[in-house]
Parts: sequence; C-alpha cells; structure tokens
Amino acid sequence: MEMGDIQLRRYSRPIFNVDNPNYGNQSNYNPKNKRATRNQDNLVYGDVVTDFVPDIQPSYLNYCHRTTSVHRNVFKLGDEPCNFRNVPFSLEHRKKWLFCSGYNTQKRSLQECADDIATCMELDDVLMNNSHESELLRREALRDMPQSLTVKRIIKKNLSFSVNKRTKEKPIGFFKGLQYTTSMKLSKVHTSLKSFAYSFELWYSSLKEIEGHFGSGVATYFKYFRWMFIMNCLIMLVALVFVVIPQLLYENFEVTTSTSKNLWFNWNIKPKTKNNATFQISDLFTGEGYFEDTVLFYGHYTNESVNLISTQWYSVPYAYFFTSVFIYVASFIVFSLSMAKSYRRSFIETQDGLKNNFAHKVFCGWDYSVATEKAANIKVSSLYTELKELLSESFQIVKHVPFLQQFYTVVLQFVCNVIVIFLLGGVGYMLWLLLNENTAHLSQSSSSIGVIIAVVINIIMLLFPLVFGFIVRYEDYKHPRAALYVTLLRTFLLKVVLVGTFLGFWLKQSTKQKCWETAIGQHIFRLILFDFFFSIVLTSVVEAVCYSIYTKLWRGIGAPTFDIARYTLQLLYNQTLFWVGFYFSPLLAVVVVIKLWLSWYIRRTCTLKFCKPYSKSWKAAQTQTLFLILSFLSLLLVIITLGYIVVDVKSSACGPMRNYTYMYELILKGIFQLEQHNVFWRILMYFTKPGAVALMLLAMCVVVYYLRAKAIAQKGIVDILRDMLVLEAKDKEFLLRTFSKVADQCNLPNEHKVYTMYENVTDIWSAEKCHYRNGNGNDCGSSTETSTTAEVDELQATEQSLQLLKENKPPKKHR
Amino acid sequence: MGQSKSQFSEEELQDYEDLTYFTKKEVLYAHQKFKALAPEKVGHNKNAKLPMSKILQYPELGVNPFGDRICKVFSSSHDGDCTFEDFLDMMSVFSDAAPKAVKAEHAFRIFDFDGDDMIGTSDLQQVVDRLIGSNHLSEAEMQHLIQKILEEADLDDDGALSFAEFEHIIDKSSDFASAFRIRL
Repeated sequence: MEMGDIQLRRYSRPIFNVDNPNYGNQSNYNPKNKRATRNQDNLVYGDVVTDFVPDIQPSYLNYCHRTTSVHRNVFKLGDEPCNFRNVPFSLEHRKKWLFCSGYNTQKRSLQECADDIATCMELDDVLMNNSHESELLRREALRDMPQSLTVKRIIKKNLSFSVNKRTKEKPIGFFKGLQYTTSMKLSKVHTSLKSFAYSFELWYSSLKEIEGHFGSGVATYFKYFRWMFIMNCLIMLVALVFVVIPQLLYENFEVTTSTSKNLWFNWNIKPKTKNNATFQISDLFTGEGYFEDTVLFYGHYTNESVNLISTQWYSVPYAYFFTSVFIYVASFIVFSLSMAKSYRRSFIETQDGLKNNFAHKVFCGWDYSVATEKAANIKVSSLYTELKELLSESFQIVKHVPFLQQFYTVVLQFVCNVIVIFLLGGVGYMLWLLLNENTAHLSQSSSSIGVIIAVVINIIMLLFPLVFGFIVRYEDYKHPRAALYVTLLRTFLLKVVLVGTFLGFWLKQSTKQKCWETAIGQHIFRLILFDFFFSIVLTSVVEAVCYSIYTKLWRGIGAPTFDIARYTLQLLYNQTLFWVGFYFSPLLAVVVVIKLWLSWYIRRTCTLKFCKPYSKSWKAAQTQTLFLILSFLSLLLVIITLGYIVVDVKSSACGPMRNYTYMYELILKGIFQLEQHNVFWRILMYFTKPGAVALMLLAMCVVVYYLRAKAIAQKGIVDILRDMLVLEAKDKEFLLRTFSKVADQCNLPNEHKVYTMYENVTDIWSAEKCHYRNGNGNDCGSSTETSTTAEVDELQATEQSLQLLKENKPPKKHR
Repeated sequence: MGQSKSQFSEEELQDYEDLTYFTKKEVLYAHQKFKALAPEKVGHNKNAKLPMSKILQYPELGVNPFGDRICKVFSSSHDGDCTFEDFLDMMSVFSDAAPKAVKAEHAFRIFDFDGDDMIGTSDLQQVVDRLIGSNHLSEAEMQHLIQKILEEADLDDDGALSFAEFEHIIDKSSDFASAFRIRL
C-alpha cells in the first residue's frame, strides 16, 4: 500500500505550516493540494490503524470512508442507500481523483477544473461501467461533490461521452442490456412518483410560513400534525372502501338473481328500513338518537354477506374484523418503525454528543429556516442568553452540594411523585364514582350524562397539566428539560388513567347493556367532539383574548407563547381516543379527519396571529422522539385492551359479530374451520404452552445479552481509538517541533520535499550529535552548556522518531 | 409556471434533476423563486448572474447572519454573485433530501472564513460574533468559549478543527440536519 509515501505526505502539510509563515493566506497556498492532504489524512489513518489493530478493520474502514464525505458513496463499504457493492481498494486512482475534486482554484477556469475532475473519474473503472449501478454511482458521486453545478454539468457531459465511447468499443450483452434498461426505467418511475408526491405536498406554504416566523421547533409540531392527518386520511379511505361502502350497498340495494344474464344492471333499490328516531340537532353532539342506528357505529353493521355480483359474496363481518386488524397492525408497524428510527437517530447515534454543548450551540445554533426579521432577532438574543448561561455555568466551580440539601431534594421529589400518584388515583376513582352514580340514577335517558362526563373529563384534562406545572416548579430539577419531561410524562399518565377508567367502567357494564359496542363508540365520539371544543376552540379563544389584552390593555401579561409540548400531547390524546374508538365506529375516521382539518386552520391562524415564538431553543429531535415513544406506548396499550376485548368480553346481540359469543371465534370457526384435532390447531396450541413461551423468552434474552455485550465492546474500541488519535497528534506535534528546529538551523528552502529534507536532516543530525558529544566531552565551560541536557534529551527523541520515519520513508523498499 | 417551463429544455431539466436533490418540478419552482428576485434580468436570460445583494433579498438568506458567506461558498465565481445554477445548488444542499455529510461539507466551508481548510480560533470568533449579533461578549468570555469549543471538538489538540473533526461533531448532533435546512 505504499504506506511510507502516504505517511510522508501526511506530515508534509504541517511542515509547510512551520516553514511558511504565510501559510493560510489565499495568495500563498494551493487549496486544492491541501484538500487532497486532508482526504489523505483519513485514508492514512485508516491504514495506520488497521495495521495496529487488525480485528477492527471493517468497522474502522467504514468510518474512515464516511469521513471522506466528498466521495462517500464510492468509498463506503456498508450502511445507507448505496450498499450494493464492495469497492476494490486501489488507492492510486482515488488519490488522484480526490486531489482533483477539492476546492476550485481561483486561477483556473471552470472548464479546466471540470476537465481535470472528469479525467480523474474516468480512470476509475467502477464508475465508468455501462451498468445501472455505476450509473447510479456516477450520479451520486457527482451530486455529492462539493462543486458548483456548472462544473458538475460539464463533468457529466464528459463522462457520458466517454462512457458511450467505451460501450461502443465493448458493447454489453443482451441480457445485461435488458437488465440495465429495466432498472433505468424503474428509477425513472421512482423519480416521477417523487415529483407526483411533491406536487401534492400538503399545506406546504403554511409550513413554510410557520417555519419562517417561528423556526423549526414549532414547525415540528405542525409536521407531526400533518403526519397524523395523512395517516388518518389513509385509515379513513381503507375503512370507507372495505367496511362502510359494502354495508351501504347491502342496505340499499339487492340483487335480483332471476335475470342473471346481465350481472351489473339488476340492482334494485331496497325499500328503506325506517329509522325510527327523528333527527335532532343535539344528536350531532351526543351521537345518540338518530345516529345510534347508522353506519357510524358498530351495532348497525350486519352479520350477513353482501351479494355484489350474483355469485360473489362479500362478508361484512370478516371485512369489518380484518379491516380493523389490518389498520391496527399497520399503524403499529408504522409507529414502531418511525419510533425506532427517530430513537436511533437522536439518542443512540448521538450518544456521546450530549457533552458537546458549546460546539453544538455554535455550529448548529442558527436555524436556517428562519425568514423574518423579528424571528431572527429573537433567535439571536436567545442564542446570546444561552451562550451566556453556558459560560457562567462553566465558570462556576462545581459546588459540592451539601448532603443535607441533596437529601432534601430527593425527599421533596419523592413526596411530589407520591402526591402526583395520589392525584391520579383520586381522579380515576372520582371518575369511576361519577360514572357509577349517573348510570345508577338515570339509566334510561343517558344522553345528558354522556355529555356531562365528556365535559368533566375535558375540564380535568385542561386543569391538571396546570397543577402539574405548579408542582414541578417546587421539585428543583437540575435541568429545565428534566422538568419538561417529567411534566409531559405525568400529563400522559393522567390521560391514560382517564381513558383507562372510562373504558374499564363501560366494559364492566357491558353485560347490562343492549349493545355495549355501540355505547362505547358513542362515548368515544363524544369525547373526541368535546376535545375539539376544549382543546382547539377554547384554547384559541383564550389565546386571542390574551393577545388583545396584551396589545391593548396591559403589556405585563405577555403575548401567549406557543407551547409545543402541550399541543402535541393534545394531538396525541386525540389520536389515542381515535384508536380506541375506531373498532367500535369505523366512521370515526371521517370525524377525526374533519376535526384535524379544521383544527389545522384554526391552529395555524392563531399561531401566526397571536402567538410569539418559544424563546428557549427547543431540542426538536429529542422531544419529537419522546412524543413518538408516547404515541407508540398509547397505541400499544390500546391494542392490548382491544385484544382483551376480542378474546375475553362477550359480544352483544348486535353488530357483525352477533353470531359469536366471543369475537375471536370469528377467526377460529369462520376462517380455519378448526377443530380440536386439526394439525394446525395442535401446533398452535403447542406453541402457546408455557414451556415453549419460556424457551422463546430465554432465547430472546440470550440474543439481547449478546447484542449488549457487543455494544459495550464497540464502545471500548471507540475509546481506544480516541486515545490513539490523541497520541498520534502528540507524536506529530513533537516530530514537527524537532523538524522545524533542525530545518531552521540548516535554512532549508521553504518548499523542499520532505524526503530530501530527511536526508539533510540525518546528515545534520549525525553532525550535530558528534558536535554535542564532543562539546559535552571537551569544552564544558561554553555558553551552550546550560541548555545541553534538555536538548540532548530532545535530540535523542528526535533520533528515535527519525528512525521511525526512516522505516517508512523509501516507498519502494517498504514491502 | 408555463412561462418558466419554456425557458428550460427537457434535457437541461433532466441534468438538473440528476445533479441536485430536486425533482424537475422543484427545479422549476426554484427558478420561479430565483426569477422573483430580479424578474427582468432573469426573464431575459434564465441563467443570469445576480449580484450578492439581490440574492440576499431571499428572506431566509437575508436574515441569516451567514448570508454573505453562504453566497460566497456557493458562487461559482467565489465573489458572492450567483447564477441560477449556483442558486439551485444552494437550495438543493439546504433541502430535506440532501444527506447530512453534504450539508456538513458546506457548513464547514461557510464557517471557514479565511479559507485555510481549518476552522481556527479566528474563524470561531467570527462565527460566534455573527451569531450573537449586536450583543457583546467580553474578551475573556470569548476566549473561554473558544477554548471550550476546542476542548470538545478538537480531537488531536492542534488548536483548530479539521473537516474530520467538524464532521464528527456534526454527526453527533441530532439537530443539525433539521436546523441546516431552508424550505424552497
């Protein structure tokens, strides 16, 4: 690998630095050259380390290739989009190429620069093949190259010309050609899909406006909102197509099978079954009366099959059940994947990064999406205060907090947590009592109770976060973010407790009711509706009032701030309710979509009109991850609850599953027609035995243990590497110092090649050594005497390092 | 839209699509934005070179403390004046689709004021100065701040950040990609 050559080049940069005081001035250096050295540094480092530690070779190479970002796709051995091949390691070509694609030198024209890069790229066989892969590779290499677009276009033209020439010389086979054209077509389809998606990007301009005014922190809320909205839209579509429309067809049409010649046009409209309730406005809010027996709720769906085309049957119960299962499973997968991705990105990959407060503040502090003067000013002042805070923190010597105070804080936090737990328990119990009381007294006309309960729950939801905010202020958390997370978690727990109590109560009541599924659907419907009035309309009104007081009457109140955490939790609550309710009311999807659509516009207008941006910087990625985790948790809880309902709650005499005592029997009896002695059934039974489950759990534990051990080992390697880096740097510095000293003494010309210098140095060195030895031995009284011992030490070290260099120096002798 | 479409040939659009992180529609949209900066000039010549002051009228760049640096880094003539291709390049690097490494590469060049391929103390000082705007840090505070940054980021203790070190820091930051982004 010609290590010596590279090694020398590696040291060549700082040596120029020492020799040339003008180093760094634009006039005096060739940036292209230096960029090349930079990239070589990485390569060299890879070589050095792999020589030292052969075991870690692959992962390390990976790292070093990632760092040469300019051509990361060409060098990269694993990870991310372009992992379809391993790159042969012909350093020579790469070096040249890297050398060329550094900064533009100002003297040359763009054309020349482009020609150079193109010539270098042409040397690389991997890039110049006429295959889809190298086409993609070429494109990515060009796209990621830090050059101006004009240069890239010229390079592209040159490259495609020479690729064509090559192909003519060596045409590719038919099969390969076919493969090539199909994959090209596939990628064309992909880009056209992308552009299609772009033209439908929802609420693009609103998002841009919000980002411009408030920065990316507030925009994360709106993006999360949009994501939820799109997901609910998809759910709505699936539910409409597979469940609601068949049911409507079943109700309104029937197929007369007598004239079976013409299959499509013999649908007759059924006589309407009379809905015996008349429509009232209040039904809109309660979901009862007229709505009780409509497609809105579970109870209305039939347990029969729809006869669409004379011989084809569409079973509504199966459709109902499997559509719901599909939707839950799909959202579970989507949420867990996005949570895992976000978690990996913001916690695992950046694990060590949390210490780099200052560097982050400075390098990632500015939010480039900010577009208004006002927002920019706020950003500037918030950055200033945060830097100040960080500085004053670091100036303070870490005070040892007295033991008593620590103890006090711990006790205080413990007490507060106990209080919160009691509060949550109390709220749950109160709700239970309230529900009990109401159903006991007014078991006949339940519409007003439902509304009252929905209002009470919403009021609790509005007030308790304030109480939590009050409590957390006394808890004395070290970091404001910890306080934020604690409050978030408590509010989330509150919501879980409320929804859980509510659901538990109605499930307990299930045996007493005519159609408990519809009843739960109605309750959830009301909760969702009233949540809209409280969390969207009321909040907006409060914001508007605050704002007008602020502008007209009293400045002291302060403009309302956009509380990202609270609003996101509201969104999450809404989504949880939807997940709970969807199984009992497929049309709830439509309600939620309408609700979200309205709330988007209300929220957006209020935010832009009345709110002021969050003055502290918002750790968007991490908080976003937290929200994703919370949504995942709530979805998981909902799915577990629904699983329990399907397996263990007796279904009532209405709705699609009325034929079965338990809903799950639908699968067992209906689909598999299983009996006790079926082979499949026995296998299933076998796998659900405690022994088998325990075995599986054990296997999983072993795997987890293995992965964990591996992770710890990797961490150790990182530490070792870091130490090595520092040692290397020290070595380098030391070598430089001695070199420059010797160079000064012999007045070498500035741009002298290192290896010639080396020879000079060795000569001088041996001469000096003699001199010193003589000096030491002969005239002890000379002026050099005082510094002798130190210098001798240093020179001895120089000798060692020169020896080191010598081993690597002559490129041809090495290996 | 129709008018700006006629300004580009299909081939050019294909080129732009291949060389940037944009789709053709986004390229056209970017051209609209570019045209809005100087309608007459660009209407005349679609790839006209606009002076830096014009480019800085783009709202996100105008309020950005590094606006002029960004222009200079992306300008093919290195003086801050940008043609449409430069502008497109800029927007493509700032778009959502651009990978973190490419963003880091350009961020490094933006912060590298003296162009010596290292972010040294003077560069750091300028970055901080621009970030805090009209506010002022005392000399001691500034020194301390720079010291701290170097402590965190300068792995090989040479008193300046090389690109590898800078990228390492950026890699460890979860917020960089979302902050270093301009919506077209």
